[in-house]
Amino acid sequence: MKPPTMSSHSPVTAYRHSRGVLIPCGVFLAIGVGWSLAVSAFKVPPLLLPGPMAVFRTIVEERELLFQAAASTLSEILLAIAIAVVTGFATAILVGISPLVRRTIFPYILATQVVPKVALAPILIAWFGIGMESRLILAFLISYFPMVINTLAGILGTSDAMLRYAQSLAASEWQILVKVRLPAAIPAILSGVKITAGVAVIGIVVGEFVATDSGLGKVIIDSSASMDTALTVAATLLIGTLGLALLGALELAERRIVYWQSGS
Amino acid sequence: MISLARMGARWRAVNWPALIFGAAIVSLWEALVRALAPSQSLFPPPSYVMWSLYVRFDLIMEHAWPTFCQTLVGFLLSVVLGVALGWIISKSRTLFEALYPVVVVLQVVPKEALAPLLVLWFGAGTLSRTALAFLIAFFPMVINTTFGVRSLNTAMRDYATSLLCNRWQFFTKVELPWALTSILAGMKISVTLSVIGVVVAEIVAGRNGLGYLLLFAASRLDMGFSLAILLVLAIWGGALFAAVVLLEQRAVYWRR
Amino acid sequence: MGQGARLGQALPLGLNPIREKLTDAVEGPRRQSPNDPHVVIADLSKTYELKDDSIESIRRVSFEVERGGFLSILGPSGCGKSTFLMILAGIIPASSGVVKIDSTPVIGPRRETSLVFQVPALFPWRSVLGNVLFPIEIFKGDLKRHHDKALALLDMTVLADFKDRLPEQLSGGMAQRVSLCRALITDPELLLMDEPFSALDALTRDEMTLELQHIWEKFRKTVVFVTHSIREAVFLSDRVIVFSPRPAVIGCDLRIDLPRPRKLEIQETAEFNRYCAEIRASIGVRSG
Repeated sequence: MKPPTMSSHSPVTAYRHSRGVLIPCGVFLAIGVGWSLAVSAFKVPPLLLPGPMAVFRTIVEERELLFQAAASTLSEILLAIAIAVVTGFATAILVGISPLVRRTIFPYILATQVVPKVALAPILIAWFGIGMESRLILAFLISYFPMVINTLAGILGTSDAMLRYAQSLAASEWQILVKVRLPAAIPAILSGVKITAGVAVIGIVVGEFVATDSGLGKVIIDSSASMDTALTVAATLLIGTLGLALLGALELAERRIVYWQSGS
Repeated sequence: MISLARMGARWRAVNWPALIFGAAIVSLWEALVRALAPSQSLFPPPSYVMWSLYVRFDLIMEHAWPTFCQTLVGFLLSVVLGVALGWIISKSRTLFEALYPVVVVLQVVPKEALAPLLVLWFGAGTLSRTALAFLIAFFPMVINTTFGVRSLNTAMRDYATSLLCNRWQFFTKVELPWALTSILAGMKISVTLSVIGVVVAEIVAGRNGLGYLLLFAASRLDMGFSLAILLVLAIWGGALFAAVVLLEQRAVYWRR
Repeated sequence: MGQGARLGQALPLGLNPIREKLTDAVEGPRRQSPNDPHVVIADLSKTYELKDDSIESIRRVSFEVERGGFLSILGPSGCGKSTFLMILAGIIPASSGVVKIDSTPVIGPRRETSLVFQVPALFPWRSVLGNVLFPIEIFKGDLKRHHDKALALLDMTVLADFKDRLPEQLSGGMAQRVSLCRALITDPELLLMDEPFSALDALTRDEMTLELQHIWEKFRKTVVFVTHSIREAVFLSDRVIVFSPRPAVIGCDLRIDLPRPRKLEIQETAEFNRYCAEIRASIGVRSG
């Protein structure tokens, strides 16, 4: 059995393991209650950590600001994901077709994965200024390579038995690519999309921390500088929820697309 | 003496196309930038980057030290606590059903967003950076350990039980070796994530560390210096990853 | 990454296809008489070159296969019989010697040859019907015309109710039956089967053996059937050829003259067991 990749254990699959949604919801509720109790019991100053009620109040009060910021962040995230998925997929196909290209380029693609690409944020801002471009480029650079790697793994990892059968039909390499390798690779490709989405969120958020001109990241930075901790916590929770919702949506889409795997 | 056939095999085993490609790219970068770039400081050729690395070496190392330490501490902490929690979760059915979904949800949530909050709580120094590195690297360790422990197939478990081995024997001779594959795979992920955690925290706040130094250099538009720092970070990330890979080859020698 | 990593590389070809085209163009295609052997194997050898070593898999095998006959190739595991079948199929090139089907040398996979493997290798994203029609899509044939034919084949193998199901919902035996249908839809002249039933349980295996015989009686294709079960070989075939352990040479070439159609009970008769004993003896002599 292969150890899980970053995205193979997702909220939806985990829920299928446990007895319904009840227990995890209960645990989160317990965390919320515990938070509230801890804050009042230990007399934590609201500047340090406000209670859940204070955070909730802030969300309601500042809902316009938060909504606008969330919309900005989400739109950038979606754009970054779209670009990374399309270009990553195309690259994987090109690299996959030629073993020579693969041998030449793939080591570098793999090598980029150990480099902390978030460190590019200040560099990109120096070159492209504070704004959406820098953030998109950062998110793209972070999320492009996992997409290539996963798609390539999917295309090249087709089972020998299926390939041998296709070869026995004297199918052309193009037919094999389109009718055998690509459909067989769809689970791996979708896995790549999920990873891409996850790291694109990180790219945009970190980008907003450094190139602070819009989005939830800006709200976080501004509010923490002005010690409006309730707003900071609110915005942070919102980012968390966005990331969760995004991946949940991808999970659901995956189950529709990969209809032939019941257990996934 | 090495036979001609062996020498030929070694020659072929080296990835020449990749090496040539890399050298070509670096040369192209050097040539193009020297010829076309308006400012060597803003668009440095590789030679300038290396020169910056040489000239600023002491400064870079001064800031690299806290980054390296915080990465290691955060990573090791995440391994120890992650494996412990993973092991505990997989042993109890109730704990698994209660906690595992929580772990998985927290894994999915972008923890880098916590950086400013952590700075608020733990200050702009070592603690917040190590905490972020730990938090990001922790959950993959839990998930992979859980997977590793639970994936032990019943046939092996039944066989061990039939030999009447005690808990400790079972743990050290059966469970642990089996789970090590997943644990080490998790460590490969976590070690890279801990570097990311420290760098993000340093970028967000603070006055030391390579992330901070990078901001400093970039704000001065000294891109040669910036890329040199990036290079150091890349080497550090690569070295850590290579260390885990070596560990993996020694520890899980039966795979492949 | 074994064969999977060969994206972009053409299959290795043996003889020059242009030469054969030229010869055919100048002299006209060879005329086939029904008494000509369907497949001729002459002096076939296969040696694998590895890093430090070379493994001789098949050594100078020669025989002919008659049209419409059922030939079994028998031998222990690893003796090269699967390799032999792959060479016949044109998927692996021979190291020396030649295989001719209808007097044309085999230089690559042919549409007139169908292959059934041990593992069904159905495409999990396609329905049963979709899998059966897959070869037609590859050959860019008329899907409408073959749709009815596919249904007829599925009917014959008692899978008509499952035509819209996905492979993961099928049992091993059913999946292998689909694999058989998909091999037959192209109306092949030569059917090559590589231990198709060895992954099935014994009861399903008996069932499938009967069904294969029934199908073969109906269509009378030339079948080359690789197996390591003596009883299966004797039950199904007109002729059994035994391969020795590696390097494979022909150990025994036996005609099976049992009356057809054969029922499962024939396996209890003395004559059947005499054939089995003779084959077993020949294998024993080689490995002893």
